[in-house]
Amino acid sequence: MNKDVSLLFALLLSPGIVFLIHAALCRVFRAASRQKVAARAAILGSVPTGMLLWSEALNRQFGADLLWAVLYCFIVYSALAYCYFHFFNMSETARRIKLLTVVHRAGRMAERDLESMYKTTDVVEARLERLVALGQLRFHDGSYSISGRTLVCAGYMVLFWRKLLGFEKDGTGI
Amino acid sequence: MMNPAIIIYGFLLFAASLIVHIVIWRLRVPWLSSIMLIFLILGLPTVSMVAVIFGIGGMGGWAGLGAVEWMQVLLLHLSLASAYIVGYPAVRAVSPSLDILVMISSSPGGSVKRENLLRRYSEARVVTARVDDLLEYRLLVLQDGHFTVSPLARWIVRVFSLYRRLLGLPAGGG
Repeated sequence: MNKDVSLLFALLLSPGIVFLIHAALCRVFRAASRQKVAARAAILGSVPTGMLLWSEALNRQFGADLLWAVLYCFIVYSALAYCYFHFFNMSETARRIKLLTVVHRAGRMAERDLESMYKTTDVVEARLERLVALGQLRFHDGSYSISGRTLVCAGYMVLFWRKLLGFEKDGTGI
Repeated sequence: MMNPAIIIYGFLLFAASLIVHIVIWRLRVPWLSSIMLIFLILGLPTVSMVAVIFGIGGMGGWAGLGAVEWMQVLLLHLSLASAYIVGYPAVRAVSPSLDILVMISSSPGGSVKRENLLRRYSEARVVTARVDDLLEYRLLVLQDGHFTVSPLARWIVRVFSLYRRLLGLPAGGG
């Protein structure tokens, strides 16, 4: 097979490779933060993906060609691995997925039953727990403070992008 | 041989899609904005690239790149565009997690009492806003005061449920 086509196929396979690694890690690290396990799977997936890319396409390139090819593969793999992580995060935390799952399992649900089953305070408490488990928040003496900068920076970037897109921020923006 | 133009064209295509997206959104956020976004930065560029790749309308071999190289351009654009799209829900309606982090980070003293956090979000439409979204996208159907899921929503729930089972995990907490 043409090495350029092999490169494309290997990159398209990479989310599947990450998924297989993730499935294995989930069974081994049951007590760990699920987002951390997913992130580790995305990073570890670069090893078998890199080996596949090398054996199928990159080993026939040299010098500047090899550098450009590695850069291309790094960008595409990183973006696809990021997409995988977000897909997992949606399955883990997305309110809409949770709501659909709850209604689907019930078959049919009254408005008031849905609101009482899935309370706002439960949503917030779950997120506070996750943020502490991820090392982004610290809980001390009844108050929360920031302990990690990664997601805070992401939060400010999201705010900037919302302003750029012209979304109106209605108080919480939620 | 990896032509560096592949990386440049991939980024240019993504940048052009983003610019069009920003301009349209600043003029007026479209109805069903998530679907319109997918059409704008995935659908339209893909159709354009397919035309180039298959030489439709005499566009074959455009700008010195062959068909497989244009496929590599397309994959780069699609991976960047997909990474943007999966992050878009957090921009469209600010994720409570990111909102919590920004609020704590910008509060006096850099900490917020737990009860203040919970009180703030009890007044926000954390759950009902998501229900409204699902109704707008026809994933939830409200009839006679009861919710049911649409056929498409049923398919979405099954995909996520299967995915979680394959990972060996229970349903997400939302």
